[in-house]
Amino acid sequence: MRSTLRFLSKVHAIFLRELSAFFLSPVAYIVIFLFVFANGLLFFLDCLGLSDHPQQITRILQSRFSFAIFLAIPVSPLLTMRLFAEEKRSGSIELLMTTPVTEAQVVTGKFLATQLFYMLIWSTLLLFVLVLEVLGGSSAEGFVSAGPDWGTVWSFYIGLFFLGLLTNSLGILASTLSNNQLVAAVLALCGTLAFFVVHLGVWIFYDSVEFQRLFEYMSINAHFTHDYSRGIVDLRYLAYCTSLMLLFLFFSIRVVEARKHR
Amino acid sequence: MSLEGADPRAIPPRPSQGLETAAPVVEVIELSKSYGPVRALDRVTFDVREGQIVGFLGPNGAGKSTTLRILAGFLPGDSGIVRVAGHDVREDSLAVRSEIGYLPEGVPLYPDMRVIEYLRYRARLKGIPRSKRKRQIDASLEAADVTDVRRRIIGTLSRGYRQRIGLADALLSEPKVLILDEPTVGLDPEQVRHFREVLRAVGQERTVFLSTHILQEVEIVCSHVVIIHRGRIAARGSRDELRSVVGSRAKITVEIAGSRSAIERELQRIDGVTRVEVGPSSDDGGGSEGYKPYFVYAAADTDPREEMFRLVAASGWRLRRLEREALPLEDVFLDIVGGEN
Repeated sequence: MRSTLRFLSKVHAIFLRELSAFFLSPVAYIVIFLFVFANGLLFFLDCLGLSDHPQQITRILQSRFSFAIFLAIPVSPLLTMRLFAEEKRSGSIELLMTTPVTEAQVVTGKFLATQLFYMLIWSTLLLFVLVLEVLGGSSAEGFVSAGPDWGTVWSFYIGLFFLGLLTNSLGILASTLSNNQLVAAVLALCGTLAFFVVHLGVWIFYDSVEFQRLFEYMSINAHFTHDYSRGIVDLRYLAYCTSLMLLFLFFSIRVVEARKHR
Repeated sequence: MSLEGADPRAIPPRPSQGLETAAPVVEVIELSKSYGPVRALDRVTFDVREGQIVGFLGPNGAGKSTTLRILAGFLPGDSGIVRVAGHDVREDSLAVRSEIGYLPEGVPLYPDMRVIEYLRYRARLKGIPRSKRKRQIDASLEAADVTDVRRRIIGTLSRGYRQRIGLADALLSEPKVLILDEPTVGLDPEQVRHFREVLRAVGQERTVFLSTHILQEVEIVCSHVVIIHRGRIAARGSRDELRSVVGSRAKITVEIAGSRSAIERELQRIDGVTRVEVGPSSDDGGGSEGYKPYFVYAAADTDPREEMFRLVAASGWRLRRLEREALPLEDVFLDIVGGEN
């Protein structure tokens, strides 16, 4: 119990440092700006295009959520690229790893900070949901007054959270592998893309039900378009993301330790 | 002073004195480390005792940083035993890391943080209990003389300040030993002077092990010296021992006219002569039989000048200069590390 607390105390220290580092670095603000800007623009177009539709609000939300997921692809690599690559480039990893902290504590702390910041970025989407809530609730002049379906919003955010576990841990692994931020970002981007591109397997193996099911299970976008943007929470996807996260974090710890075995 | 390896110019061992009886804080025994085919450290053995300020002296690439990284638990050695404050670096790395204050070369601090934030963060990483944190942070700010910039952002500070913030960080946990890698590299002369002053004050209360390639620094700051060259320990002992050895080791300059190879051979045979170098010919002609300067290095406590004169007289050569000068520390260092080149 006491050793757990001590473990968490160091994790907490690293978590706080990394979280403040996100706010201190310009990259985070650029990511947030681009993210809000792109989503805002698309939201506007959605509203224009779907305003005649009888179920407009549900459609707008679904469209926003299932498309926003593609905007998620560059977010994790941009957030994680710095985490280890920069420490290795500047040499501060040496200062960090010569204090009484373990590799596991460092990786965990950095990962948790990224995960929180990642969810903060996504929380900006709630702005658009709130707009729909306010407009939908006003029910003036015979408009449909249902407002957004908050169940859908919840399922979307649960899906996003677990997607973040997957892509952030992948990004951290990429960052431990290089001491160049750009290389780390590209590596993480390729890895993240692979989880989306795997969807192609569904079309390639169109005549085999087994393969289709396999690729659909592995494909992030399938989970989002079928389930999570419609209010369905599929536990298999949660298990999928969590187990990959554990794997990537484990590898990250091993890579940071690897300096000791060369 | 003891000298490792079978060096014919070996300085004779002397009885150790004073602080050497204190408990060793750092013990390194037969430490070796290779990077692939490159042998960075070859059976390195030395110790640092409580209260000493030990300078780890060697040219660039001699294996100083590697040794320090191993001491700090950042890298493991391939073989040998390394103990810091009684803990084995390999077996009990976390315990070692909580007993040391380490300052790597180049002082890689986070440029985006404020000094005080950085030290608070480091204090937490080092597991300093909350009740002591503020007091210890203030004390190390004070000791490193950086209290005046505590609210500044590290990235905006000069190199000299950053170096001392690194030192403040190393002092935070009141460590048993400070391990500093080239702490004055990249500073301007005024900053170097200030840093050394701070370091000397710190060294009054703490054991310090610092690497450097600047001999002068050892002379000014250190009580003991370990000299490393090409991954091997070339010499170690107290500064005064090194000085006294230097005082008695001498370089004798003679100018003799005669057959060069015969002169070189015969000079080499004289008792106490460790090395003979031939200088460039004087420009007053005379061909191969003209005057040439020979630099004769003599071992400690010997003076072969009379013997040399007798040799010259007996051989029928001509002599016009015979001069003895004490070697400065710089030359001893070069003599030890440069002899193999």
